[in-house]
Amino acid sequence: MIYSASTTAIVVFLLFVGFVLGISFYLGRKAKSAQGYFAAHGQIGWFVNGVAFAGDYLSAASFLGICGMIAFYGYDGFLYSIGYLAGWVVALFVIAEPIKRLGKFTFADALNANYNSRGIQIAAAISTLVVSIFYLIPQMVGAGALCTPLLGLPHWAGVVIVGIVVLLIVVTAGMVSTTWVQFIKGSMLVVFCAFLTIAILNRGFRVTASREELKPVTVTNPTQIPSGGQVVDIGGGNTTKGASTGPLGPMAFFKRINDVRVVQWTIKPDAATPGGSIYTPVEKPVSDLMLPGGSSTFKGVRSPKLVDKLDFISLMIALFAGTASLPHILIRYYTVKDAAAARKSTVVGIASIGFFYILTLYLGLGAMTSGALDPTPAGSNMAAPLLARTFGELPFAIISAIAFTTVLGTVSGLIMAASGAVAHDLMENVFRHHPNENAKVGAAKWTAIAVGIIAIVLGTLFKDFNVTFLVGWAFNVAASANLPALVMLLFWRGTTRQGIIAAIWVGMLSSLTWLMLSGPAYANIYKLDASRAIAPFSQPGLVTIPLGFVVLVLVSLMTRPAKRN
Amino acid sequence: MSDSSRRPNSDHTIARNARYGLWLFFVYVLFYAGFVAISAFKFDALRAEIGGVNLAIVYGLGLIVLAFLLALVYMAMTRDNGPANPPPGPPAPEGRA
Repeated sequence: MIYSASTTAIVVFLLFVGFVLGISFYLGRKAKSAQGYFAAHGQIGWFVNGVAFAGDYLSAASFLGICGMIAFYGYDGFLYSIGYLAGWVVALFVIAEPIKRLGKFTFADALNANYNSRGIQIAAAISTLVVSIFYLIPQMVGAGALCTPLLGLPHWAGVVIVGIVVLLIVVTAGMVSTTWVQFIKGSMLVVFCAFLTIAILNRGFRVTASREELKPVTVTNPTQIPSGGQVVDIGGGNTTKGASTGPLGPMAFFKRINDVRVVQWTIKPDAATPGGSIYTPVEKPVSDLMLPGGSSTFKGVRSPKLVDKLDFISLMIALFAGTASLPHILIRYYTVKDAAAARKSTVVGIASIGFFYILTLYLGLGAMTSGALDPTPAGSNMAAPLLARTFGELPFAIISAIAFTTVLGTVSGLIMAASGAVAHDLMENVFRHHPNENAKVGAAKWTAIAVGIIAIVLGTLFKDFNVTFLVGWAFNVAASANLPALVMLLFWRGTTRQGIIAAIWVGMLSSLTWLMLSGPAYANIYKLDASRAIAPFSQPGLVTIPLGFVVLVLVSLMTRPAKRN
Repeated sequence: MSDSSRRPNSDHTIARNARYGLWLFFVYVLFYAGFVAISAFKFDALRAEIGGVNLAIVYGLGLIVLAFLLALVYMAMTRDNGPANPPPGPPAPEGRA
């Protein structure tokens, strides 16, 4: 597939991004104090904050990655939707109110509220940095994936553009404007995806290609890559090209899709042609893809052996436990006034995010049957914009602009979290260096620039991963490092300072090591044979989250202060 | 919004809200674990159709809707302390969230 820039798309895109940046500058001009920069003066209303939760959370991964994964593998992508939303249950019912009561600016404040320990500050700040950077990678990869079909630019150029624009937002503004960017973008994302879903339902399923057209092809340059997501049968043996089911209702859509047969392409290197690949059409009934285990990562769920199923179980645990451990989500609890407002904004967040995740299923299946997929590995991240293009250039431009602002918003939130960790936690509390307000905000901005550059570099290295898979990894690290400390602090009086520090370090390092030794890292980063990987499955959460709890309890018991009586 | 004039919640209120939260959390965990367990150990059950749609889809969408419903229940159950300066007269009842 070859991508050429479209003028309509570029104009709409620039207008949209310019508008969001303008608002950011306008709203950010007053945020001069540290309280204003990091926590928006604690004055954001609960509704705006709730939608901003959705803005923070519905990242490039949610939008691009999940749609792409559903389009390629069916139900496995939806597993992420289910898990990501379930995580909010932990956030609302267990974490939201205490974290609001305990902290001031950052997650480290909350952990450290009862201990005043330098060790906790360091561990929490480093884990915030690591998780933020890990979570930044997929956002940057997503940015690159957007710029290819939209602007006709190579992947790295998209990554650099996002990096620069985000740094402009963060450096000029801080938490007030990132909150407003998230609010605007969060609402637009949900509303436009709802429109797109209506368009998908209205179109129904249609035969996009006849079986005779789809033959194996040898591809030596990108113009020869065939379009994926071809529908060859819409049920009842109706295989005439152009035949359609007509408009379908929301439930009828799921019923009818069981009769649909799609053609996907398998790609193998061509031994006869140097640098060439053979694309072979494989016909599948969609009903087979409407169950977990369609992708190579989670095919173990269908295996009779327990050990094969662990990857799936581990992912579901990590997604469930990860949300409430994400620093950039946790800091949003400090932008509202009190526990009641924190609670209300979480409920607004759950409503908008849940609604959006239901839409992802329609969008992903719409892309699967659109006849317009890019079947290459990097193409899975482009499924949603390419789907929008089948409805015209304007929807394509709007969806791309929203997705791009999605990346901008999430990345600025993450960079805010990271710079707060360094400027507030490390500088002030660890090194006991108390700069004045201006110097503190200045330090945060320099950190933002450094983190931004790291993100740009990593974003180009990881381009062949599906972005939501990478986010799943970030959830594993976040849950392993932060959840044991957060939960035990709230529910076990015996928790000691040393226990918290040990749990954070062990959880963070063990999960990172596991990921770097897993099959997907072998295959996509080191270009080695995945079967030689040391880690037995790709998602560490099942092992490393309990490990964090065990370490916390053991160390706390060993370092228990002597009883007073 | 009247949020600006609230008193901080008393320990009693905090403990009660936390207890409700945990109960609802366990309700959700039950359903979520059910989904994971069926997928992992009773895979073929996911093929069962409910109104023409397979159980995997129905359960998955159900989990999303359930999270929202439980969040509403939680909102209705939790309480916060009233305004900081209650008007003269009978003591103000605890306000709803």
